[in-house]
Amino acid sequence: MLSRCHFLMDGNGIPPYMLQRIGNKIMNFVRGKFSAMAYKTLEAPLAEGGLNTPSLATRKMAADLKFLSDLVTGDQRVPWKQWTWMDLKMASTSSRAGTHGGLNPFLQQAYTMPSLLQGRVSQAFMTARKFGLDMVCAAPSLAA
Amino acid sequence: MKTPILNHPALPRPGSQRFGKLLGLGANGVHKVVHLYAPPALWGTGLKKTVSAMKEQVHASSWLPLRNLGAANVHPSANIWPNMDGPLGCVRIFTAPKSIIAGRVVKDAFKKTKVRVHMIDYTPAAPPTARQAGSIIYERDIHVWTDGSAKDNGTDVCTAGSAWVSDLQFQDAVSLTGAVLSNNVAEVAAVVLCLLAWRDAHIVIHTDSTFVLGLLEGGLLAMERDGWGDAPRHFSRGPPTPLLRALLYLLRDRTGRLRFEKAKAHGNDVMNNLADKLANEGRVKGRVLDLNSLLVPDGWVDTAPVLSHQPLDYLTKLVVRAQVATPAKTLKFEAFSDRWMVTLGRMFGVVLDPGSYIKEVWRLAIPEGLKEVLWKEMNGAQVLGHRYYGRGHERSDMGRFCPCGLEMALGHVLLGCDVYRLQPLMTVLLAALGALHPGSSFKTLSPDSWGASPWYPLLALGTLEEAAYPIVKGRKKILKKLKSSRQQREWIIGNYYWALWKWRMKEIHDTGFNFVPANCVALLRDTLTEPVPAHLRTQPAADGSSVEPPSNMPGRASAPLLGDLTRLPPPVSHLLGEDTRKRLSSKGVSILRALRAPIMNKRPRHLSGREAILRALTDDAYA
Repeated sequence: MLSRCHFLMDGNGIPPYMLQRIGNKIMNFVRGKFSAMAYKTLEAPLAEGGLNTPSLATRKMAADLKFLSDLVTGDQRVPWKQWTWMDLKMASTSSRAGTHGGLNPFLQQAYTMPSLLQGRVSQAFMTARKFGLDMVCAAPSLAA
Repeated sequence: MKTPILNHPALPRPGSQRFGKLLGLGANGVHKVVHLYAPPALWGTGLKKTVSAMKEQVHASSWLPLRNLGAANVHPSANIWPNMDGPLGCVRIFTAPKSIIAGRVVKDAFKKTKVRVHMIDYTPAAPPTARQAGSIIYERDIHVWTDGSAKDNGTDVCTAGSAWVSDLQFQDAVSLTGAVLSNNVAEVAAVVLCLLAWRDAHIVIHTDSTFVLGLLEGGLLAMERDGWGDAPRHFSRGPPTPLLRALLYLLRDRTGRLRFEKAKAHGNDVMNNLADKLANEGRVKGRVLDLNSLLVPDGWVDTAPVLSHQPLDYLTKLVVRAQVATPAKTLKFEAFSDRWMVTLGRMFGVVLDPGSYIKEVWRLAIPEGLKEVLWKEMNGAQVLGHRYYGRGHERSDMGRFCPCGLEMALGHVLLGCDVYRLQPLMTVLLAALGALHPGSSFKTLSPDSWGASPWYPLLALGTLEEAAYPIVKGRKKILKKLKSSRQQREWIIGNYYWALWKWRMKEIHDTGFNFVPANCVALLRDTLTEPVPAHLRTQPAADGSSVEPPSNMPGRASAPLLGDLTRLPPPVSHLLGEDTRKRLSSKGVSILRALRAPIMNKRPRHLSGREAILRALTDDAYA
């Protein structure tokens, strides 16, 4: 079952409500409905008092980060990487009021509209944002 | 006029009043605007270059990290690190809130439509370290020689010391602890010690370590760039990163000049030989320096992991670590953590981080049931005392109050009281421990001196012995011997506590059982001589790390613990006459319960349990 979930998470990005429903099913099965223990507790490592059972939501975040890790690793001339970067670029602008798009190298900031991104990129972008990472302006520009 | 050129974030919006003024002034491009705004003093070459670059970028109107990749695209002045393909190698995740490159959290970060994601703040979060007032200022460069010494290098029993000597006749030497030690660790620690001692002075450090010089010539910065190794220290026994981070911080937080020179080891350099001698002395009898106590303020060293080249398992661990508050770090353990730290500090003079030791309870070589008891005690979930609500039989109050009148607690059970005098059993325990180390009188070998919470030192026996054992001749041999017997001692002490706990609980819940310590000596002696079960022994792995016990270890019921409690002799029967015993037996009344009957019978109903028992004791009913 987990392999199918991984496929859903990594292929096209599973919708959040669907992820939550499947995650709740698993949670109820593993922990039971009436346990007072937080499900987060089960996710902690064995050595720190948990059961080392990451939830589906956690795995999904890790899969999103893995997607971004693959994006920044290795040769950037691979078509899917160039396409992803262009997707990010088209959805971003340096100016809140700017209408023509484009990123200014001196400002090193970006206003990204996740709704304009392709589904997989959008979910990875949202996850990365939770962990303090903006893919568009994470690396410094030469001009700056 | 090309409007897009003026449509720049740094300029007024098109259509605004200020925009109209610019047009009226004849501005037909960004370079004109800059000339209009900038004072003449700034119209130098730098400004021209800036304007030129700005024009180019604005015309291109785009910027992505992708464009900066590849050696051909990297400008020589960009200072990209060697062997780095592009700036994407620097991308980090889970950046701390106060990190230099962390983005500020903005309130509208979770808007669904348009998101202002990050404003990168390049200002260090921590202010410069406050210097000691009144320190002497030296005008000339001070020469300092550093050296490290290690014995049994590369093994688990390695001991190390570090020292520095200056040409001003100041010197220092320490014995290292708190990390996997080696000669290189000792050398780095010597430099760190030196930098700590000479924060503001102009110094020249002479070291004979090629490893240290390699770190200073880019190795440290490369480690920081790569996220400090393949795995953080929390996950594996990696390099001693706290020490390296402290070194990088001290190098950055300096005001004085600093220069390093290579010294020839074991040559004719008198000062280097003196440092070597001092390091050896420090290893044997220097003051103890815990490498984990070297703290780095936020914002000085980037400790966040890099994003590139990370496997899925590691990323999952990172997500869990960032999102899950482990049981040991929740508020439930807060009270225990404070008490534990203060108690051990007073008892052994050592300050330990409770968070690192709470989880160790599951790795101790003690009965499984006792692990659960201690875990509940740590997080305040022990059902004893005011949390006890036994029902259904008369003696349920014993879970709430001890017959001596005090509230029941784990510490009270393990220490005993006037009603339960544990001295005979403690004698057995001390004899069992003394047999392992005859003639030794260190505190960790004397559980009778462990105070009101006698199980506290059990969590950190090894660290306490390494850190607090007095500096005497043959200390290393003694510590080695203590280390070899640590599991056996844990097993003995754990079995002792587990026996006390089981006997007291059995007495609470089983009306036909009475616990009299003096009658349990023989049984306890047999129990304490049992060897440590194989499934609780920790085997050192090939890489030096410890191996956890298998997950299919037997539970409490199947563990060889205390034998059959029904073998206990009838308590205090010899104190009563034959007629009395027969009379009590015919009524099904336990003998000890009959002895304590006056206490229970004399309790007025309007008094609380504790008050009633105290009054009964005052009336000498029990006597």
